[in-house]
Amino acid sequence: MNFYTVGALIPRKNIIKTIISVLIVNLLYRKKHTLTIYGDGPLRLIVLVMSKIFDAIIFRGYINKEVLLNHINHFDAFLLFSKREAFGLVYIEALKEAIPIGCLKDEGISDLIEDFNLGVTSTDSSIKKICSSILKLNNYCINKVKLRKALNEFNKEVVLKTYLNQ
Amino acid sequence: MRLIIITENWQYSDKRVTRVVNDYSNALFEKYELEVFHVTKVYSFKMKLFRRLFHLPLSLRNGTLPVDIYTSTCFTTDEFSFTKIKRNNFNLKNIKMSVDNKIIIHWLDTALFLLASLALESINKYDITVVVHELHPSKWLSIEGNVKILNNVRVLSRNTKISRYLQCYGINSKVIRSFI
Repeated sequence: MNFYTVGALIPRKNIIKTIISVLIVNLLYRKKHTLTIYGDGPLRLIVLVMSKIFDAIIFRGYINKEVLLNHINHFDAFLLFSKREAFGLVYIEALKEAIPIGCLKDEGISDLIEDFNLGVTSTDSSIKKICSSILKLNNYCINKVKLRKALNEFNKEVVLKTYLNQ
Repeated sequence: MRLIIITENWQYSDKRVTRVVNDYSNALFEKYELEVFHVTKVYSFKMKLFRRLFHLPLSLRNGTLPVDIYTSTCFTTDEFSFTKIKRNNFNLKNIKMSVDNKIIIHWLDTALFLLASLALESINKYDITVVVHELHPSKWLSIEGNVKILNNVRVLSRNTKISRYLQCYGINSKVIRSFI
C-alpha cells in the first residue's frame, strides 16, 4: 500500500513515529508499504536522513496545496497521528478523494471517521498502536454513501446554517 | 442585518484560512452586512520576552509562531468592514450593537474577556455565539462566573472532544465542522 502524510514536521504531528511504524510493519509482516511525506519543519533533517536510508520512505518536502491535491488520488491511505488537532483540513482533503484515514482517537474529526467508517483511529500514539492501525488499513474500503453523508457536514451551507443558528 | 465577527486569530499567515473566510463572506453578503473585528492579544512584557528568547525550542517542540506574527502583518479587504484593534482597547459597548445583530466571537479566551464587561441580562438580550477553539477549555471554565456567562450565549465547539469538556461544566454546544 502507498501511504501518505501531510503536515508540519514537528513532534506533535508524530511523523517520526509513523515512519518507524511503517518500517516495522514492512519488516515484521513482509509488506512493501511506502510512506510519502509532504511538509517541512524543524524535523526535516531527521525525515530526510530516514528517506535516504529506507526506500519505503519518500520525502517530498513542502508542496503547494493545489499541486498536492492533484497528487493524492494515487495513494491508498492517509496517515496523520497528530496530537492536539482541532480540525485538520488535510483529513477532509483526503476524504474528498475517498482515501481512508489513519489518525488518533479524539483528535480533529476522529468522531466522524469512526461514525462513518472512514478509516482507523488509534487510541494512543504509541508505535505499537500506530502499527496496528496501519495493518487495519490494509485494503480498507470506504462506503461511498457514508462518505457522502460525512462530507455533507462540511458543506458550506450546512456550516453557515450552524454558525448563524438557522 | 449586521453580522459582527470578533476574532483574535485572523490567520493571514495561512492563505487557506483567508480563502475560506472570503468564501464564507461572499456567501453571507446577500443577507448580512458583515463586520470583522480582529482583536489582537496584548502579551505582557514577560511573555513577550519568554516567547522571543525561547522561540526556537518552542517552535521545535510544537511549531509555536513568533509573538510578532499576530501583530506585524495586516490583512484587509475592501469587500467588508475590517477593523484591527488591540484587545485591551476593544469593548463590546463601543460597537453599537442592537438586538437584531448577530455576533460571533471566536476563541473562548477572547469571548470571556469581552463578555465579562457586560451584565448577564444584557448578554442574554443579544444573539451572541461563542466558538470554542481551545482544545482544553477547562482552564477558563474553572474560573467562577465564566460558566454563567456561557450559559447565556450560544456555544459552538470545534470538535467533539471540546464539546465533551464543555458538557462536563453543563454547557451544551454544537460541533461546527469548519476550518475557521
